[in-house]
Amino acid sequence: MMMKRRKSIPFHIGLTIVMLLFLMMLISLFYTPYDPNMMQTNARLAKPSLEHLFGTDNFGRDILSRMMQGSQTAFLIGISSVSVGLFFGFLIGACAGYFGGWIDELCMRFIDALMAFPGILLAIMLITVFEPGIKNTILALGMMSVPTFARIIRSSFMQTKQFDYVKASKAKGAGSIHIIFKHILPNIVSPILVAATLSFSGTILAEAGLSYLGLGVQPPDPSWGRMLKEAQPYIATAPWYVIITGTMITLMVLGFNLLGDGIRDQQDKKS
Amino acid sequence: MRYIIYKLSTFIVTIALVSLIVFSVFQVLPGRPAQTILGIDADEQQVAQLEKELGLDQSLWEQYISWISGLFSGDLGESLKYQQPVIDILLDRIPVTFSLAMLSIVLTALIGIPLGIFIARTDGKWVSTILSMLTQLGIAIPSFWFGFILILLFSVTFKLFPSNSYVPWSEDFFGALQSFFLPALALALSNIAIMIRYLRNTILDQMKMDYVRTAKCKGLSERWIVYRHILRNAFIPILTIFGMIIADTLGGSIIIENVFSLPGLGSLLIQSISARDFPLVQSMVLYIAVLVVFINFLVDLLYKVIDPRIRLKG
Amino acid sequence: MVEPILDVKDLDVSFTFPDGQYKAIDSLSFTVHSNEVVGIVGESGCGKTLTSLAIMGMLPDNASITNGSICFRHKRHLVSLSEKEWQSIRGRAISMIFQEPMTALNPVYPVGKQISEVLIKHTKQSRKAIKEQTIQLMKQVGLPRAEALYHSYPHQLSGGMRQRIVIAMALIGEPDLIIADEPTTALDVTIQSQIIQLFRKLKQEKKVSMLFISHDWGVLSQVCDRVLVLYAGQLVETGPISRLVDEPLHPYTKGLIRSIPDRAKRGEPLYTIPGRVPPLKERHRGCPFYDRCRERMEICRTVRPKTVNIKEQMVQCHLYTEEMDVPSS
Repeated sequence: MMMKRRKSIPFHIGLTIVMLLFLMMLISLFYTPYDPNMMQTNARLAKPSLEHLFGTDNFGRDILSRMMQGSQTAFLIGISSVSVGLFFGFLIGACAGYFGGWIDELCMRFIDALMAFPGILLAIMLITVFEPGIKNTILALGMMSVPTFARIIRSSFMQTKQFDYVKASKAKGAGSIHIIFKHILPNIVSPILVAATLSFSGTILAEAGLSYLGLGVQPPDPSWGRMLKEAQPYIATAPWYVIITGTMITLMVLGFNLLGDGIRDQQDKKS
Repeated sequence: MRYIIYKLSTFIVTIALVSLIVFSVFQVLPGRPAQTILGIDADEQQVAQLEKELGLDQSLWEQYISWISGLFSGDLGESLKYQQPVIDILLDRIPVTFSLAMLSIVLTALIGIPLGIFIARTDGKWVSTILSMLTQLGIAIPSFWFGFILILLFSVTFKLFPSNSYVPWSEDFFGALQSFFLPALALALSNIAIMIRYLRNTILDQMKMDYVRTAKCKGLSERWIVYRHILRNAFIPILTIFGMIIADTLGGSIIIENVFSLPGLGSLLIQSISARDFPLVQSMVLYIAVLVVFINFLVDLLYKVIDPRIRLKG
Repeated sequence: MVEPILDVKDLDVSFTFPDGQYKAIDSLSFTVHSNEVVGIVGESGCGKTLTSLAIMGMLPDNASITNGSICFRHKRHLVSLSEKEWQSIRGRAISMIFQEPMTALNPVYPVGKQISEVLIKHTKQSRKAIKEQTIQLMKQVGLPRAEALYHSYPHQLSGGMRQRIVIAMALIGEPDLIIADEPTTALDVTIQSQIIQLFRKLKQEKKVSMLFISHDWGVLSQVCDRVLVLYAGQLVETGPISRLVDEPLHPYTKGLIRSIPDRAKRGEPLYTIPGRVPPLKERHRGCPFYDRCRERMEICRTVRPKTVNIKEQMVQCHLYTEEMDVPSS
């Protein structure tokens, strides 16, 4: 019993971080300490104080309010990109796993080809062609997580196909759709949950990178990655701007990573 | 032998698919490249003339074939912005990215491998627990932000390393090493963390194996068992992760080069995108992707060479 | 009487669980003399392997020796040694042979080196001398072309060859005692008899002393001088192998002997002792075999029987008393 409790500490830390950030996002929908876009020219690059908890940026905008607003974008991009990745990953993985043979081989080579673009290169290429902005950022980042989902779904399909009860219901004349929904889907929910949680943090990191390069979210939409880009020139004069913004991104990535690892550990224990 | 042929054929198919993806994505671009080159003032006849020169009047399939055959002959087309063959521009930038990536991978191995062994051997003790938590942080920190922090610490506060000043190897060896060190470290951070975690898990898994018990029964010390028995087994899976780390380093260098103003492929890529120099972007993306596929192919082959269990069956 | 090589007295080994301590080996006493092969027999879960791990000082983390002593060559108490001291004993003074030769060997380390590293660790000879000695020994345990085999990997060898490598590994340090844990179980029948022949040869020529764990009476009767019958961590009967096979005293030994497949009984269903070995947490005061015994009495439920000497045999059962002769059954 002792062992069990100690092992899930990282999971609880992750859950707490994610819940707090989510709460911050919810609050920001109704309330921020200042108008995130209000410029106070007399308070540029102000140090953190009671008035401005996280200080102000180079235009005198309240950093905390901007962070809160940026969390909306982070969650929006995270959730949407993972959904996009899951959707296409499911299509490819299910085709490969269900049909097997040369279709499988072709799908896997396509996945290999997608994985040949390291890090955010795939997203960079897509955004170059399709113009930056929230919508295209979501689509491009979603493409990055397609291989992970496709592989999981493919192997689940292949495994489940081998089970006797699936063979039996196939022999009874059950249709493909029936088999997929009745037997295969329930089995892949939990590995998908783990992959989705971990992809979420990957997406947040990639979005920060893209926005830093100026290829992600465009003004006036708020983004933590772009805040970092704006903070960089003031690294010597206003180090807190850089430190606070980066810490926020790190926290969110850490939270989702711990959460994903925790869910996976619990699954491993069950099986 | 059959394995090598299979791997070789998947390698070729993957490269073909990668090139198709890159080619077709860039077909989506609105407007006519010839018009972009000549400017808005050029009339239809001039544009058509240039299109003919560039081979843009051919069918898509013919364009693809000529693009691909250009790749094999080292002719990657001409940059719109620099008015130079793409290959010359790339050859100019490659040494910078190569040095950065190599240094980063060396740092990953030098820091990650000993630490991974250390926390596996001290598993259960508090040092090990704290280090494990730090690896979680190492994975979560965005590499470019870590780059900022390094600049803040070592360049701004302690003035130990120059920031934003690239020194080529040919000019000053130690100066170059200095200018590459911080970016390489920033780039290595998450890979170090991944290496540590992976090595730790592999070693702990191996420790449960029967052959470790046999080795203990021979009176061998734990040190001997870890270094002579377990690591031999652990390095085989480690090789797989090295392929991943190299790819990650290439991808990460795109951002890090921009943070530290290193004139490598990554900063060239971003400059070319803002200059809308698409032939250059297209070639670079393909170049990097093909390199990654090639490295993975090499890792697959190497895997077979170092694992004696597979070497014979071959 | 000659001093025994190994003298185990009143040994208790207990597992610690969050809800308490449980004895897995309960007041076990036995000796192994020079050039003697002592068998340990019993169903799985009776503590055979645990006994050997206790002697090697390799008990799992949650198990420990809670009482008794293990005396080796009359002076070294194998309880409470430091890890360093253990390392000087393992491989050199006591060595071990395992059941599964494939997993017992490191898959990516040449087999010859796996044998010779015992000498590299324990002696100061030159590498060349060690290699020669290793090849010499590989030939003695029946490995042809030993020079070539020295550099091969485990997966390149057959099951029988691998087990010979494991045996050579146990012999090379010229230990005073070898513990063999089911060394023939994983092998097929023809290889099994070859390995048994090898053990007999080693006993005659190398004068080895062995603790031989097996559940196969056929194997035991070919190599052992004496046999210990373990049940639920307790020694229920011991004596010369021939006596135990011909005239088992303890009801458990009788059951084990009855369940040996026999050509004379061909066609009949094979006898098995009903029930199972009680799990660690369900063992109680009286005779451990009470639940499954066909000859049990009321006293067996509550009182643990004393050990009784009957001729050359020793038995722990209420059916017998010191003065009694073997009852004719």
